Amino acid sequence: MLSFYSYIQLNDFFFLLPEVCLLTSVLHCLLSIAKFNLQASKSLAINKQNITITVLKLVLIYLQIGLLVISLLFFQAGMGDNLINHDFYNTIDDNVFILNHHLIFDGYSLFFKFILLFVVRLLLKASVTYILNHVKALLEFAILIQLFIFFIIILVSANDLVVAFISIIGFSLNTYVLILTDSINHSSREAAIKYYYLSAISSGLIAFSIWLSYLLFLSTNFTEISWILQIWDFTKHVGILSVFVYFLIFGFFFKLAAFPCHLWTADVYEGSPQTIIGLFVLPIKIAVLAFVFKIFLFTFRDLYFIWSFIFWVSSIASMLCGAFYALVEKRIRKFLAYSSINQMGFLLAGITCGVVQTTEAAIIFLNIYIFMNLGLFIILLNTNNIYTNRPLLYITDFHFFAKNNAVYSIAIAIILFSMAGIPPLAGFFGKYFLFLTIFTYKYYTIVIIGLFSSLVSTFYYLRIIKWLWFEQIKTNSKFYTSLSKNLKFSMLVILFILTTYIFFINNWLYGTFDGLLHII
Amino acid sequence: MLLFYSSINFIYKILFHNDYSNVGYFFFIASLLSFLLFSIAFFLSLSNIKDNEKLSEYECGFEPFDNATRHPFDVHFYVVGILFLIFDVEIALLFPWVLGLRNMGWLGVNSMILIIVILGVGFIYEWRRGALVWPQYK
Repeated sequence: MLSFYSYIQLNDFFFLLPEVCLLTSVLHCLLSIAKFNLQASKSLAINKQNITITVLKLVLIYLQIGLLVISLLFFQAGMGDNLINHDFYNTIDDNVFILNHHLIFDGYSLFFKFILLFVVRLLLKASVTYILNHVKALLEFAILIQLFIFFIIILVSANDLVVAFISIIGFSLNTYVLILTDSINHSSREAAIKYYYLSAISSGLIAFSIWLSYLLFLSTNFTEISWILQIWDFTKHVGILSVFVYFLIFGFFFKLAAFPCHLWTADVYEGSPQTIIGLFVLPIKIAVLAFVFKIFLFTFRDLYFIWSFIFWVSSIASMLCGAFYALVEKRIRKFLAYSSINQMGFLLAGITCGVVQTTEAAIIFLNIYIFMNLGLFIILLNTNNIYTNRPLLYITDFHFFAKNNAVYSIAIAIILFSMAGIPPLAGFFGKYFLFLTIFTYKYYTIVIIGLFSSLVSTFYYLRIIKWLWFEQIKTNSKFYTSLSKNLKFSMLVILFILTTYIFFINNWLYGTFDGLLHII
Repeated sequence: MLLFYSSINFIYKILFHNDYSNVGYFFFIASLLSFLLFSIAFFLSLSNIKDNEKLSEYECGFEPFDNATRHPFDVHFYVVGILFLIFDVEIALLFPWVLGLRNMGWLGVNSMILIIVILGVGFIYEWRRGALVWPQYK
């Protein structure tokens, strides 16, 4: 049977359509700002609000177009038929290398591109009111986020260390500015400077590993490196190879906020706007994890004996760190930071075994993690103090939250129960599949410590639920949540997935993720 | 004497009897030229005249003969400098692009058009945003 690519002669840019779409959207938004005469207007504040709203709308439309383009690429390449046949990933037998083997176009990257665009679009849509009320430098906010997605999408499909490095530099550059959009806040400047210095160090580590890669393999291309590693007898060069792999891993651990490089998270999350915390928790971690899973499972598979130990230590330690730091935390943003470190431990546990099955389980956990965090962020972004218009900052702000917002408290309770891993909800099944598959490969320590840390973490998730419902102080809660109609609908969908996940396991979800990584 | 001769011979061989001898010629001529120009300027310039213009501050507010740390300065100079630098880089990209255009074909042409369009849109944006207008302090 002829495949789609064999009978259509196509330019490389056809496969880059999502990226091209995002880039045109950035240019269009810049021009749409340039259309207004910013010097002439006397009432700059009102004008700025209007321009911000128009730019935000434009960005949302373009993200929608990007999602459409990605789904069209899915169906054009014949992946759509196999979506129905529960054989989602096995279809992409012909990986297309584009732009001189620098980028790869396959089902894996396309899937993660779709997820990234979806997540960022929902986050932006949820944070429209937040941006208008709290973020100070308004105009370029949405454009910077759009550029951020453009760079982060490239990371997912990178087939070359240098391309990955450029995309990491690109999206970090946007995040430095985006943290500073709240620059009147004192801790925001501290956060931006800290994140800037630390991510400069991490980029330096990755750049050093690129140099070592060229020294060792005379190439930075992943396909070439995997060929060389299969042929080359590297037993005499294990020292320099392990230096190379360690530098690469620690560079990525900074972005993932995993154990040895997790100390920046609390301070940076504390200072940055809520939307940007969403970007830290969701898209950056999704993209970097997708990239790390791909390169360490497939390109550096033969170096398993070098990297497995690092992942093992990091996973165990970040599970414990996240669990025990969050126990005494009173601020919601720091609490989010520590709980995300804890979950990063679970995600990294999947790759530790170096087997496809456990990594698949980790990716299932990643998808559930996305839904849980999205739900939480939608509510946190739209909750304000009715008197001072302050967002939720402390856990004590939740006291008797249910009096005013009963429905949203139920939603938060479901999401937190799911994060804690209470059985009928989705979060339980994520952890269940993960630990079951790791257990079958006889990594008992990681399973025992993972279960222990999830036991500890249950305490602090339950404590928030206690604040929500049972903590009666005489004054009523001053915080109100208000969601628009679309957001209510997407919240409903997220809650539906979290609660009824148990019915989808055998039929659809687990079926589609089965055989996820066999094709690469 | 022998040591001197052999070292000269060694340097000569390294620089000029090599696959990369062009680089050697280039290095030699460039160093000669720079030495010449510098020495001409050193001997013939009227450096002892203390001109009032020379000793006054630059337009960006820096002292000409002072250590350049811990002084307040106007950021706008740097904004203009960076905006200029982007187009400088564009020129640096255009010259090798012209040389390799025959091999690159339409992909190369389209890529360069894309880059120029991106830079142009950025230029329009910064113009309209008011980055090039000099702020007037009253």
